[in-house]
Amino acid sequence: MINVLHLYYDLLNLYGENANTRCIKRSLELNKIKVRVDLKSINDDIDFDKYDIIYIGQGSEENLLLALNDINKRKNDLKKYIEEDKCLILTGNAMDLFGKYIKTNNEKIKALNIFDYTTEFINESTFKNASKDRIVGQIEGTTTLIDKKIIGFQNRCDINYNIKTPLFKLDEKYSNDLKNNNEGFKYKNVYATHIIGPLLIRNPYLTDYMLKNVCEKKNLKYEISDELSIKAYEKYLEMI
Amino acid sequence: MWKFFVILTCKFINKLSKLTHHEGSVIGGYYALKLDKNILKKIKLPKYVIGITGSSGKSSSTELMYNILTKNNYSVVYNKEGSNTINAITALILNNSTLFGKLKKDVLLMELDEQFMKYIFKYITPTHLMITNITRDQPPRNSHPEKIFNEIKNAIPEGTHLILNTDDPFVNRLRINHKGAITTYGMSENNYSFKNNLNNLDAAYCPLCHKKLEYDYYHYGHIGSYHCPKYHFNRGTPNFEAKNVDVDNKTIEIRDNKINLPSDFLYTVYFVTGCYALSFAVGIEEKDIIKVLNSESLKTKRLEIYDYDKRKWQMLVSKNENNLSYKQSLDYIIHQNVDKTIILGFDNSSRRYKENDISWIWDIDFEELNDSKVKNIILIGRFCNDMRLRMEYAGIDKNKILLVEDLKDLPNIIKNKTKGNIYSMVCFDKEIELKKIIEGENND
Repeated sequence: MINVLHLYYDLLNLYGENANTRCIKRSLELNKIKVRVDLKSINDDIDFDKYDIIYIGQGSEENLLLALNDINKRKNDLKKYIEEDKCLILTGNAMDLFGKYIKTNNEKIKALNIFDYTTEFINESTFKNASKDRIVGQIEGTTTLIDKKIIGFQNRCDINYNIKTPLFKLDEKYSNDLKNNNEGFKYKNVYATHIIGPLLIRNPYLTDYMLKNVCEKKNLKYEISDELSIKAYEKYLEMI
Repeated sequence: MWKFFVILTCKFINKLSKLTHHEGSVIGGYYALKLDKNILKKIKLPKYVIGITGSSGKSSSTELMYNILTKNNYSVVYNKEGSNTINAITALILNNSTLFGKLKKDVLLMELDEQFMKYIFKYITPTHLMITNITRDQPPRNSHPEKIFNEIKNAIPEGTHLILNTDDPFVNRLRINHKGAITTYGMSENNYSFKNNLNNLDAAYCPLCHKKLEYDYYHYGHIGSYHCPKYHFNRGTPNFEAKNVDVDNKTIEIRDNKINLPSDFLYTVYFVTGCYALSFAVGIEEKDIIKVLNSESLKTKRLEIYDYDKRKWQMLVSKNENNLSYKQSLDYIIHQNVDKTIILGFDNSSRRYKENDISWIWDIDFEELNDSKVKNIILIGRFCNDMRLRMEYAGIDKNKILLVEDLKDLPNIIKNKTKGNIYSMVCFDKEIELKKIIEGENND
């Protein structure tokens, strides 16, 4: 049995990100592994010891700060969870919650300070794209975790500084600080990326890598990949 | 004198542009603003300056409002093609003004873009502003609904009479601290409403105390009847509420008056009720509003229905990247009480920009296609494999799904492998190709 927590499911839920927990559930069930997904949000009682996977998605800037106010009360629980090598998946701006602070247009707000990086919101786009004031575009990257490409989409206004252990490598205009090719953050079993939306559904090989790790720890066999998901992934790579 | 010259230039460029078959609606405004960026402030505007904005429904609302006004003998100038940039609105106003700077009509009616509106309101103040809804819509361009809410909120001038759809908690937030009159509208519970909503995606919390809003029912997405558990922020009872809503028979009641709907789509309830409220706010008598709404000319909204393979084929627009509009089209198809085959697909997420984000397909409840009357689902377009995966997640019977990567195969597949009426909801480019297939068949 794998227990999954979708935290701030109703606040940090832009861009089809609920699909990530659906993907975890389906992938585990394909492998005949029982799975339970709990939805929790601000002010809820949460027993973090219970969970094997925690997922947090991207929200609007306002909702991110609402979540920040709540998650700051849960620092010790989350720190313990991370140090116990448990799986934490963060998409979009959810990673900002775990750094030192978030600098918005008019203030600097203390974040969880579990990791050393910092966040700054930008007001204008750094290159020409569909939005006037954000970083928006399709991305294609690589990772040392698997030998397959990573695909996805970014739509963000947060820049992160001082990340030394990135998750992906990609075009610098989509990178953490827009200055090198480093994107996202990796520490133990924490996987954080600025990619939004159904990251796990669109990257079946990455999903398999993460879920295999989780299952191994619980002596559960995870061997079957989602063929339909792989087909869509491969067709997309052919297309672009 | 300078004003005279600027208006003349705008009119002249507009004529010249039309003579040379260019887009006359924008370029004159561009040059007029170059000559005098404050030109709009110098125009004597009519008594009524009406704006209509929102994520969806603004074109239908503006068109209906134009009908109500003109049929009640108001002279109206409006941006018929929906051109709503500052250049387009400037050209619209100047081209319809005298050379001395007086707009010669009774009403200036504008369909406004949620993000461009602020540039226009810098120079002119609307007397009335109707906001239809604020939902996820073209995220690569619009970011997210909260950003659009803030754009609209910051653009609204003091004193403007707001006409708000309070079924949408985002729109309802606009009334907080607004200095000016407010008229509200909404739709009562009906056979499209439901009690549970897994995808209650946006505006889930009270903007005042941040407690989670509680819903009595949902119409779709976050649109419905809600209240804060401590009653800081509620939908309340709208001033104009569509009651006894019968979409299938195309009737509603507003303030005990029976109104006919122009079509059997749920969204028509909103634009009819919104325009009723707006017309009332402008001062048109109810009997005169109703007379127009119930007139024959409005009843026949053109539906794109064709004959194919001795079956009916109805085409609907695929509202990519607007999950709630897309969902309403799906709702419409499901509500048609016939066996059916549905064609879905797209080559690109948007026609406006090149970025292809396909996240939105995961915000749509395709789960509702699990319906015994849905006999087949045909998936076409460049992203058909992603759509195939979405259908799988929605739990749709594999045997019902047909993937057509080459449209040349489509006629045979439709004829030999599918049943029932055909409903297609595909992107613009694919729609052209489907129409060719229908024409080809009917010319044989």
